[in-house]
Amino acid sequence: MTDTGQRPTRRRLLASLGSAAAVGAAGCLGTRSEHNPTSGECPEYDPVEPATADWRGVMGPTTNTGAVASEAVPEGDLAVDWTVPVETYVGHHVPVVADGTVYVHDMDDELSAVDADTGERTWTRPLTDPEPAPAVGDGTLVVVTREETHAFDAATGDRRWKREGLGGGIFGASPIVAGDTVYVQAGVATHALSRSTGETRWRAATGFPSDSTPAVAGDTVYTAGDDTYVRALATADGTERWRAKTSARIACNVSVVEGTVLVGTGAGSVLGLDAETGAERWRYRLEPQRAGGESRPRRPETIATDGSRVYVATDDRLVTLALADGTRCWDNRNYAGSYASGIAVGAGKVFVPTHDDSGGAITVLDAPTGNTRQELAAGKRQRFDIGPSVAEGGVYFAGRGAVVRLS
Amino acid sequence: MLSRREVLAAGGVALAGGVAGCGGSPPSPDATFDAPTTAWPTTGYDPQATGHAPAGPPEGTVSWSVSRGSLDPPLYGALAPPVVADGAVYVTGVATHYYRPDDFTSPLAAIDAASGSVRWVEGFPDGLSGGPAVVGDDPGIVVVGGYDGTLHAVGSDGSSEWAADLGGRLGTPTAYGNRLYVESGNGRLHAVGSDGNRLWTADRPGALELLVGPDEPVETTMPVADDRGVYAAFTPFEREREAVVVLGYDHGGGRRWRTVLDGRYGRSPNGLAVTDDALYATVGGTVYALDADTGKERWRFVTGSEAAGPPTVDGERVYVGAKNLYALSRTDGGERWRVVNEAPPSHDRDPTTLPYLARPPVADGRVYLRTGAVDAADGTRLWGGDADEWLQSGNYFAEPYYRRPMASPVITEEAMYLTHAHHGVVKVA
Repeated sequence: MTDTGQRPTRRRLLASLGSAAAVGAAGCLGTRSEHNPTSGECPEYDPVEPATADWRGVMGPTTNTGAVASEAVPEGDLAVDWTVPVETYVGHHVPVVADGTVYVHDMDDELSAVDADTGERTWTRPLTDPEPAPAVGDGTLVVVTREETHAFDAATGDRRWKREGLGGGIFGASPIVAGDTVYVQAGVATHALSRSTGETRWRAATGFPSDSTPAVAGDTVYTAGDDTYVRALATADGTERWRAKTSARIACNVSVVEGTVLVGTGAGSVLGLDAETGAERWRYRLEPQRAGGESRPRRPETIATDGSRVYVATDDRLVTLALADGTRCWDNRNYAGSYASGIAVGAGKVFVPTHDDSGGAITVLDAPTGNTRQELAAGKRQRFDIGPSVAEGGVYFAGRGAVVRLS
Repeated sequence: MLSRREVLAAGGVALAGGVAGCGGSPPSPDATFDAPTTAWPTTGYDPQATGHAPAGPPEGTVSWSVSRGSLDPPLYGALAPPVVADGAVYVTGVATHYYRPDDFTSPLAAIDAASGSVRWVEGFPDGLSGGPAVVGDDPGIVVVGGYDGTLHAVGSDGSSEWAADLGGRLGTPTAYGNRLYVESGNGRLHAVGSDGNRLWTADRPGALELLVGPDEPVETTMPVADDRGVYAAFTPFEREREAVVVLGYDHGGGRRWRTVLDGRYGRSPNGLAVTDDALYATVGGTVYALDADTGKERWRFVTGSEAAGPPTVDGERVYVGAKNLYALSRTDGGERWRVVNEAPPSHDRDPTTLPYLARPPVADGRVYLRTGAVDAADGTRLWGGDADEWLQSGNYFAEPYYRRPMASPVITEEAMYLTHAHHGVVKVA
């Protein structure tokens, strides 16, 4: 298993970034990003180099960090390599990428595999009501539909198994494939299924649904949900190692890196917990949203981390915190949140969907400073609102009836 | 802010004796509660609504049941939790959104606890809006609150004893010694003697509501009382930003404190229970422990549910049905155990299982849930079940029961009595 990032090699990206970082720190030119420059309190940017170069689940590796190895990140400015039409009246979800193949569904009636190099379809098959992003691992593609969980041969699209009753929703948790186990949040429980047969290995019921994609690191799966708790469960049998109470439902994905579990609650708090004990290391309260004299919590929707920073997306901004202590480093107020907008980070760059006059753009931010490195507007043939996924040298988005690759 | 006296004068509200807030020490009502083992006289068992009885049945099976349609008038409406006194089970059918009072007669039924035979049924054409309470002994009188603001007292033979016009849709009364406390749907708290004489009325808090507020409907919950005073809670419908107001009064109607609880998720006041050290309140899906002397928050436990039922409390733990059944530490609100409820996230997925929401009676180290009991120490099932087979045979609206208990149990030392949304009144012994 190389997809958990458990034994990362540290690498000083600051050194390699060289003059780009220096220019960025001096101020960013000609962009709409209202970033806050790095304050003196934010610790040095010192990311962990991940082991993964593919994008196997909605947030990349099974640890849901949204972080990929530098080799997986395209160099220089991005340009569109190809677009492949994926017609739909419903929408798309985040594409996942493994072994040179991109997997995407249309949230309606079709599942597709696309060659990452050429943009040609490898296979398609009918599938009723696929909902959250798929997950792929060791040649098995898992898709949760409204009523079922399905597993397919990733190479051919042939069905391996199907589980009735384990369904999900568009805003729900995505499945995770880790080792020989598939983790699905369905009904009022976390289900651990055999990757090869789909049989239930164990089931841990909280009594509440969960829209939070769980994270797997080593022999522990970290879960959260409407139940308000964060839990560490043994992957072997679902035994609870610890649980940490929060004050609100958790819909955002769980993310784990460097012995820290990250979650964001519906009350607007981002928490860093000790992965061994569940003890709270720090908490950051997102600035509430004010409208019409009312103050509402700003809800974290996606969390990513590169082992140095924590990237928290809400529906209208990206907030960056220090992993070590939760200090805010910078934010970006152009973030375009949607049901399937994400964050990808690698090689000192952060890839996010942003607002743009033309209906949405992809923006590449400099991870240490938050400065904009590139902003690329959507075109007539594609949008950049669903995604990104970064894998094997390409950046992938879905939207406007197409999937697009950039590099 | 106006004093109570000024406001009362301005409002021209005449109160008997002007007792409330007029100085001097409030009268101390005689309030001996003898903790009966053969009765559950008010919805919360005792004036504190702890739901903690000295004894409960060790196990049981269905002994008798009285179907809703077998009575005249029928036992329709939302069935409030039963009370048990003087060998009878008293049940009301409450007027609701589905059983509108303009074309629905609310029943109050007395069923023989031993045999299940119906002693009498009284119909209230103006509708009842809460559960019954029994005040007094040998035999006591049954008091129920009307949709039209009338508090009705009925003798153990079904004859009318008295009626007091309090105004506002009345909730479930609680008995404290020889008096009753009941909250109006307009937010006022009333103290009424067991002879029907109104002792005082505490106005809704806040000068604005007092002076100009119409009697707009609010959500209320049953008041609870101890030797320090009486506690009430309500939600003003009109005030989005002010969630649930909890009030502590003395027994003369003078306000001791006022606390606003925001609740998460939902903002209905679902129930109160008071002990020597704390007032427990469920608001929406959140359980709060407040200092009973000051109203200050001690801890809160957000369940994640939108609705939590009324709490019960024993020496160590607070028990709340909030989708799952929870046992929380009285000291810090930490979860000690839960009974996971398998009802799906939305009622349209599978209407054969429903959330736990009823007040869970506790006795002899057992917490009573649906048609059985779990161990109060660790939540393991001792006997009985969730009555899911009843649900599967039932013909009822699932939707209302995601906010309202499907089955509400109370206990005596030898039996459990339930009002059940489909099966009417059931004895398990």
